[in-house]
This record gives sequence, structure tokens and C-alpha cells, in this order.
Amino acid sequence: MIAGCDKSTLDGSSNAGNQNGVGGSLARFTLAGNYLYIVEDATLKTFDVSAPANPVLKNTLVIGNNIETIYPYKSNLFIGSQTGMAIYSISNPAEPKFAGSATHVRSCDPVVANDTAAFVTLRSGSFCGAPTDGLYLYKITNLLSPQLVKNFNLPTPYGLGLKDSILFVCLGANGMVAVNVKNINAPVISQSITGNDFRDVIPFGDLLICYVTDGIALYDISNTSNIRFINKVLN
Amino acid sequence: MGFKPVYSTSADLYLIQNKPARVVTNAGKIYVKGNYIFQNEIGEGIHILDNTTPANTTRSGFINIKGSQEIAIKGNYLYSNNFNDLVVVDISDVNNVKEVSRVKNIFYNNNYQLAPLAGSGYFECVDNSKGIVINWIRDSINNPKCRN
Repeated sequence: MIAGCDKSTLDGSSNAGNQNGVGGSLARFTLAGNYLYIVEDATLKTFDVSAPANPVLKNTLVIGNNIETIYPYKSNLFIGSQTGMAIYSISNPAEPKFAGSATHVRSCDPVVANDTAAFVTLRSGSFCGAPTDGLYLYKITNLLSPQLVKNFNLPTPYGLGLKDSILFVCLGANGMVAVNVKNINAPVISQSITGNDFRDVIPFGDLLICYVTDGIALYDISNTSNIRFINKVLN
Repeated sequence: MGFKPVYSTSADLYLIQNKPARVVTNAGKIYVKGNYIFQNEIGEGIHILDNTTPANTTRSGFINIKGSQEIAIKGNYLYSNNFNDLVVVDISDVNNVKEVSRVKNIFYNNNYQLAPLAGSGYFECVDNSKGIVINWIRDSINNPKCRN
């Protein structure tokens, strides 16, 4: 159930100043508004948590097999399985409804998105076994048919996180890179960081919280052109 | 020889409570809320890191939630799984957490509750009256009726 690759969720509940916490991984639990969505091997369960101490199960859908991930984005859930990605509309949040599928974006590929683009890392030797390691940038003006705009080679990518136009991409033992993605046709590495084996990141205001293999590393990202190491808490 | 389940009926398995800070052995998902970073210790619970001053962040405590593999936080409520149950934990005081509610048997796919890994061969079938399965061991077994 726990895979090697991770992603940062970028849903409406992810603001530092907001009531909800921020997750940074291939979550099977995800919060969107007043609902908690949980995926298991074959099902999607929807809980109303408007009274947070008392979750109420509202809906159970059988949605497929080998479901791995759930990623909320605005009024949709992207649900990944080993064979593809299904999109469920949560415009009625208590009742997710199948809206379409994007078969070339697979479950174990970490995804983050903003209004116009989705960023996906693929890594060979991962669950799905990608042909080329890298960062894939998609235009998502039509959510149901993401268009691959650029395939940017990066070694052993893992999780990623987005702050404004800077995408932080974990590269395992190869460190981490900050990539300027303002123009998705021409991503540019603005900074490379080594010294840690990076697996997952959560941008949290001016702080970048990194899950590295030997602990949790913290970086100052108040100036994304000059990312500075603050501290590491060892395992 | 085959696989046999190890059961536990310890009431502790379902107790959600604070424990002293401990080292990370099986690092899991990270989660951030306010001045705290939470990290899953797979199958055991959640590490609490006090991040009030990032230059001095330390692991300050632990929340015991056996079977835990997931975290989500809404306001002062933390959601996790305690084996197959969804639990809601009040973390308004992270050093004095309290379980506030539980939805039982939400999760069915903690597969090791039912069988050892696929391809393990014959195993002693799970008898739920004996408790919850917390592990599988290889041992001599009699007339096993289950196979994987």
C-alpha cells in the first residue's frame, strides 16, 4: 500500500493559513472542502466531515481494481490505478460521479497541478516502470484530455510540490531541483540542491518541508531563487 | 510447515494515546498543520514534530495508533486508520490527544488481516474470535484449509 513515490496535494484545503492541514504524499485519504474521500483497492468512500468529529459515510462507489491514489483538484478527484487515471466530478461533493479518464497518466506517477498545467514525474523502476525518467508537463485546459507539452529529463524523480511558478522536484539520491515552470513549454532549472536523498516535499508558506531518507529536512523558500537549508531532524 | 497468524487481543491495539517521542523506523507520509509536522510511523502511529521555530525543530512526541498508514487533518481533528477502523482524534492539544469518534470496519484491504502474502502457500485460516492478526509466522501447522 505504501509506494516509493509521493506527491504533494494541491487542493483547496492546502493553504498555510487555512483550517486544514497539508498532505504530501500518495494519499488514500484526502480532504476537499467538508468531505473526506478515502480510496481502497476497489472502492471510493465519501464522508461528510462538516462536523469534523463525526464523519458520516455518504457514498460508496466501486470504481475499479488496484486503486492506488486520490488527488483532488478543484471540483474533481483524479483517481489513479495501476492502469490509468479516472476523473470523478465532485461538483456534488457527497456523490462523486465518473467524468472521464486519462489513460496516459498513470496512478503511481505523482501529480500536482495549477489552473492551467499538470506536472507529473515518471521514474523507471517504479511500480509502473516508465520508459524515461523525467518531469512531464501537461496543459490541462481540457481536464479530460491533458495534452503533453514537454518531457523534461530528470534523473530518478520522486515527489513534487508547487509554489507559485516554482516546482520543487525530489530526485532521490540525486537531490532536489527547483524548476521555473512559468512557461511550461520551456521549464528551466533555477536551483539544484544536493546533500540529501529527497523523496517528498511540502511547500508550506516560506518553508519547504522535505521527507528525506534519513529524516525531515527544512529549507527556507521565502526567496525561491535562493533556497537555503535551515535544519534537519534525523530519523 | 506453513503460515500461521499471530493474534493479539490487547486492548492497547485500539487505544489512541500519546507516547514519548521515538525514533523513526518505518517512515511514512508527512503532513503539516500549523506549528506541527506529523509523520506516519507505518503500522504504529504518528510522530509529532514541533516546528514552531524551524531552526530548532525536534521530534516532540508520538501518537499511538496501531495499524496506522494514513493521515488527514481538518482543523483540530486528525483522521487515521486504526487497523480497519477510521478514527478521529482531537489534536487541539497535541500532547493530550483524545479519540473522539470511530467508524468501524471501513477498511477491508488490510490484506494481512486475512492471509499472508500471495503465493505463500498453505496457511492456517484466520479465526476472528481469537483477536486481530498482527503478524504472520512460518511454523508447523495442522491440516491447513486455506491457501494463498
